[in-house]
Amino acid sequence: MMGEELFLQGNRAVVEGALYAGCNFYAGYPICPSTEILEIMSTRMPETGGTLIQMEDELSSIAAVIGASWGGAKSMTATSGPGFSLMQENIGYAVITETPCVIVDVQRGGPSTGQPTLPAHGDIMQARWGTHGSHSIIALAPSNIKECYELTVEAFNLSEQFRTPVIILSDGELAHMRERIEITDMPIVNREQFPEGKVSFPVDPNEEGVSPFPTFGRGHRTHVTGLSHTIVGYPSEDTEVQGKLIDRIIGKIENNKDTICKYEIINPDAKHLLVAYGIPARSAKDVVLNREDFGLFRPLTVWPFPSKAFIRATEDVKSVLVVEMNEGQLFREVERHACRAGVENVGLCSKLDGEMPTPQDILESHADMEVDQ
Amino acid sequence: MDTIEIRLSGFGGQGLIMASVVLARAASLYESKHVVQKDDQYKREESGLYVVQTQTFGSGVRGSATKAEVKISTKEITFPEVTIPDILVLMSEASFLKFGENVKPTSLVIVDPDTVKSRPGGEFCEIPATVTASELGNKIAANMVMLGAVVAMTDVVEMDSLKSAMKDMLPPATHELNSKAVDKGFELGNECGGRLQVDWG
Amino acid sequence: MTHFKVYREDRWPHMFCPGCGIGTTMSCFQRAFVNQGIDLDKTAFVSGIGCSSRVSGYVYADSLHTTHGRGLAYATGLKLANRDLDVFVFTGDGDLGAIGGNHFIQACRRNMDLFVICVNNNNFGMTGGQASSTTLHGYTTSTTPGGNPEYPFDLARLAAAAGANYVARYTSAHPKQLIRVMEEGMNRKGFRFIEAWVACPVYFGRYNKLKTPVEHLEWLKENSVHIEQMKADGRTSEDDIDLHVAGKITVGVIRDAERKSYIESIEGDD
Repeated sequence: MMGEELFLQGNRAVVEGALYAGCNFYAGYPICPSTEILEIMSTRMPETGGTLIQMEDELSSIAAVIGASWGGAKSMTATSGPGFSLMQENIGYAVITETPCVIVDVQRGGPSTGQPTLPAHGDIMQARWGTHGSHSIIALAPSNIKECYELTVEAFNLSEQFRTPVIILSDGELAHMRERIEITDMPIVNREQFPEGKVSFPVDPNEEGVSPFPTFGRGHRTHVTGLSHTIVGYPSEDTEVQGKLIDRIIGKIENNKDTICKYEIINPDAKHLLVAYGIPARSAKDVVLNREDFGLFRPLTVWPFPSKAFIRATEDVKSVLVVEMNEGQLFREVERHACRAGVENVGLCSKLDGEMPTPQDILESHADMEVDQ
Repeated sequence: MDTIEIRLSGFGGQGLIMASVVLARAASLYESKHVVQKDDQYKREESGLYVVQTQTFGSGVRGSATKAEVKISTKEITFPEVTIPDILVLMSEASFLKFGENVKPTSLVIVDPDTVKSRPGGEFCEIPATVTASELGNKIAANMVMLGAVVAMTDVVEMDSLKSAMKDMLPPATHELNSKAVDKGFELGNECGGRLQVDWG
Repeated sequence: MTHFKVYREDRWPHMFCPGCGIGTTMSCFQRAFVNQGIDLDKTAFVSGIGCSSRVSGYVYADSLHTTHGRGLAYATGLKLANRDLDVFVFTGDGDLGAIGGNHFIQACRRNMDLFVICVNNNNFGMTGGQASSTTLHGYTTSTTPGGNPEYPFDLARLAAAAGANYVARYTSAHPKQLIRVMEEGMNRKGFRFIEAWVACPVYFGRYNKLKTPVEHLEWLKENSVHIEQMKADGRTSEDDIDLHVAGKITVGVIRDAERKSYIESIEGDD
């Protein structure tokens, strides 16, 4: 299919990206606006030699995905707000057991059942802190159909490289929107395997803090537990063991932000900086393409937030305006970095009704900030 | 002219989302001769038009309000939704009440007289898509009658492009009916006199 | 010692209380497993949370100790990703019947290719003896000080009704029979379910006048009725449910069917 031009829906682009990355196990439960991913996968998985199972709920979907990863599969599930909430405990299990897997959250209006068919970005903080305990997480936000495809490939690559769950933050608008994409070559990363046969534990983590993966069924006889565990994998109540484990699993993401973080900057010398991700970033880009005094910082990696690049981008900037389809979930993260960088005017253009913020909305929010032009 | 915004509105079950996908696919994949664009981010060139198709629908599969939109442009499309359409197709009374007056003086407004009771204050054309499709064998093909009429009145895509996209998207068993429907729609469009010439210049 | 072919020697001794029936169940399982000559390198153990779910940590094989109630869902993914693995699930009445109840009946319905052992001690042991979904009506736990007002699940009959291929139940007072049904189950396909009622003298026993392991075992033995005896006595399943509620335990093979397993169904007949 290389070089082929396709006219795809966002949800379909996610599926094709996953298959390109080597996804061969999918478990899911129907929920708007992510359902097409499950439906399309139910045809595409058998076609490509993979396995699909429709589970009884989202708790079991993510559980099956994690189990499959230990069986050696590249596995994925997709859901939306209510289902994403149900998955949180098991996402924490994937974090502490360092299980590669991909979770697509096609965000919709909430809280609760909310607006099943309308877009929102209410799960930005849920992606970051939804599961309990100290941890770090990788979450990517596409803004167009090409990125639905490419960031899904990227999500698999990051999850394999860092042995961690990776979340794709799509939304109801992107899910059903169609654009043309061209399939191009992308590198594929596969998890480093544990050495063959029965080797003596522990095998030390590499310089990124990631240990090789002891896939089940190869005679390693590994024990995997969601309890705090030693490097051998055995449960431990030792505080030193807990401290070291948590330090390492946070560190392997936070210390490798330069490798992980992707972002786009347009008009870097402009006086006013817009910060936007996902579908509203398109409106922000509209403003920036028509107004030389506005620049755009668009994190494709929402978590970990590309703070270094952002702080660089705020140099000589008079104001920062964050555009979000929530009440300011990334805003606080942006605001604290902007303050550190000495920017005093940090504003928020927030849309909560299920409509995308328009370029006009953004300009009005900026006018409300009363920044010196 | 660099951008054309098209809104199809009616109720679930009329196939308007499918119609918008077919039209958008025709413009995106089969109208490649118009322009060549540079994609700076990925350092490559692409030929063809920029096209975005979007939709909103209610939770009800049948009968709830549906809005399907296509934006076609020679420039990158940032904001993906239609604000004020250049071409507006109305296929239900509810859609008229919601979108009927939100047009420009130059907009082409097409009404299905059998599914919409009210009439716009400004200029409009009537295309009896539902009745025509019924006469052809199944009212489900009303969406393709409308597309045929839109193409006749605007040249927004070539008929060949539209038919190629139809072949890609619609079930083979329906090709004969849909092909007749789109041809009949084209005829009705030519006869009704409304016109909005799309020229990518 | 056959023991440490199956268990992780470096994790011994285990954490279970004196008199706990999990040890008996583990021993029965180890006998059955060794008798059947199953390859530990081609075996994986999955469990949820609770006393019995700790068994996965003592078995010398690939083992996944997961979240509360979700063991069967993890096991489903693991088995489907590597169909050469024999996947065994250790669980308890709280893990399987309460928090994981839906996954339990759904996995039975799918006839998923898993071997499941539920150690039923009629209460939540790890958290200190609270009522579970199998605590008998009227019995005392730390959360039913006045006696349990609810009725218990009959997990084996639930599994059979939901479509599991092979379902058997015995108690820790019936070790030989437990070994026999475990071995029989290992030779069946699809969802195999062994329920073992066991003594929990430290909590359930202490609250219910069964303070010593011996008293608890005798109680299990005296209150067990073989399914064939039930049939011979002309009792219906309705009577059986009432007996169960009253503290009688139907033991034996509850169901032995030959429905296609999930993997057989998705792989077809070729």
